[in-house]
Amino acid sequence: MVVVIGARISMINEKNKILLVDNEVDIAYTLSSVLQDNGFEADAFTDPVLALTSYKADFYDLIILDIKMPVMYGFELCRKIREIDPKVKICFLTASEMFYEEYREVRSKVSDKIGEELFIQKPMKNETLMRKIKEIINS
Amino acid sequence: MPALNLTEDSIQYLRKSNQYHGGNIDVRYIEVTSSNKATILLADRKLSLVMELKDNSKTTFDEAIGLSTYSSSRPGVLSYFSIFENLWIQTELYQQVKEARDSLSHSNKKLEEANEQLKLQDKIQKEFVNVAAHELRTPIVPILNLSELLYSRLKKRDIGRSGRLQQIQQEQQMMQVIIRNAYRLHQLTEDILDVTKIESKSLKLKKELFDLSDTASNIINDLKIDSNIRLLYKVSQSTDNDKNIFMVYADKGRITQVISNLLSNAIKFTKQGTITITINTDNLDNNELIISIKDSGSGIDPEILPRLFEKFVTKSDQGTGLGLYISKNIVESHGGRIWAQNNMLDQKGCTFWFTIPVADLHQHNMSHGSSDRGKN
Repeated sequence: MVVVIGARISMINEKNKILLVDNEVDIAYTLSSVLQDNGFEADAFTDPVLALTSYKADFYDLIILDIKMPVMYGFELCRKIREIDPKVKICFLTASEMFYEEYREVRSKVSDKIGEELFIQKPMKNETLMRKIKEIINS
Repeated sequence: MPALNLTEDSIQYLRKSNQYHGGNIDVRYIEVTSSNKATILLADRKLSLVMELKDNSKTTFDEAIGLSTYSSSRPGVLSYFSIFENLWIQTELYQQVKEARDSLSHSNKKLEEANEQLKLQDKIQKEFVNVAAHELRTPIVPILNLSELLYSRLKKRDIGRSGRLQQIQQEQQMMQVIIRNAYRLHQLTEDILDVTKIESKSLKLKKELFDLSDTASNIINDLKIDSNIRLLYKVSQSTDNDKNIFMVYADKGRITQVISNLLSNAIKFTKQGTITITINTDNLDNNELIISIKDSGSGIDPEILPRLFEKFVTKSDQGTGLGLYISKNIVESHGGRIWAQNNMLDQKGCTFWFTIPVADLHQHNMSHGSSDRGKN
């Protein structure tokens, strides 16, 4: 299933484009609404496999991935997106930091050439969320 | 003589015949060892000796008999006697050691099982925290973020054209109540998860090198406080102007949580007045920084003061009494201390202090390099 909220306004090119993948429909809807109201262009998917098959390389300024998803975990999706789009900025958004901590532990043991993924905890106030996202995009 | 299969039987047999002969013969049994299956029997009439070595893997006595000897000289009897006495003692000792070893290995096995059980429980506990974190936090996202979004949309609505000022103000107020309570629920969720982590000993620290004075000023800058409260930030200056004196190796997120918690408590109990946060370097000789947060509020109720850092101890209408308990555990897991007292000398309010060890810069220079100094 795919949730695409709002039509893309392609005329305004300055808008930062964000891909959001979260299997929870309400979360995908909430976050893409918040992103759009704050001047971002957001594509939201609730199915990680569909998100991957319709992925557009060199298109997004930031990819926000949930970690705990059925069929494909955020980490695997992250790895597959990196194969297509090695330089894109990716951050994880999750309600359970333990997955991320375990992931970081594994990553710190093996030398990994792929980029550093950041981590955003949910829930988070809109203001803080927007500040974090802007920080990551501008980093 | 009947054919005897077991040593026990032969001993029984000999004991019976001993009684028959007047009860002056001693018969003992030496346990079979793995390498040979010999049994030694010794019959002693004080001055004369009859001794035999027997292979008890054989079925008949005639086959089993290996060596037998007879002596009637007193020194001969005594020396044989002492040799076998020692042998018997050794055998008994061996038996005791064997029993002790068996019992030890049994205990070890039990211990191992208990340990496995503990590990399993620990794993289940951690998984529970993980699932609980996910399940409790997830529904808060739409409630908190969408109500904030609706509120900001309401604020942008063109009041002039709609002409329903009062209604819009009411709607804004309602949204604010939802937001405030969503945030309160979020805070409560985080506190409960922290307490669960503390009590299951799975609170992990992500330590890094950072400047505590920078972190404190970031917290203060992000703080939204009422104009009735004056917030002062004091940092002791070192004499040699060393920029590294505020460097700590700690979990920045967790230390931020402690400072924010102490500050929000101070704000909560100080309706009007001054809050002073100080980073003190007076105790650098003990390699620690002292952070104090002093307010001029209502002070700590003497009734709860002795139990201030325990769970569920609070005098606030809206507090759960978990904040200080969590702060204490965070500070102590960094090797620091936390304490509080009401202000003396007719001053209103109270002061909280906590310590944090300064970073061993020599040690961290090796891994981080001095060029990173001062960065967050």
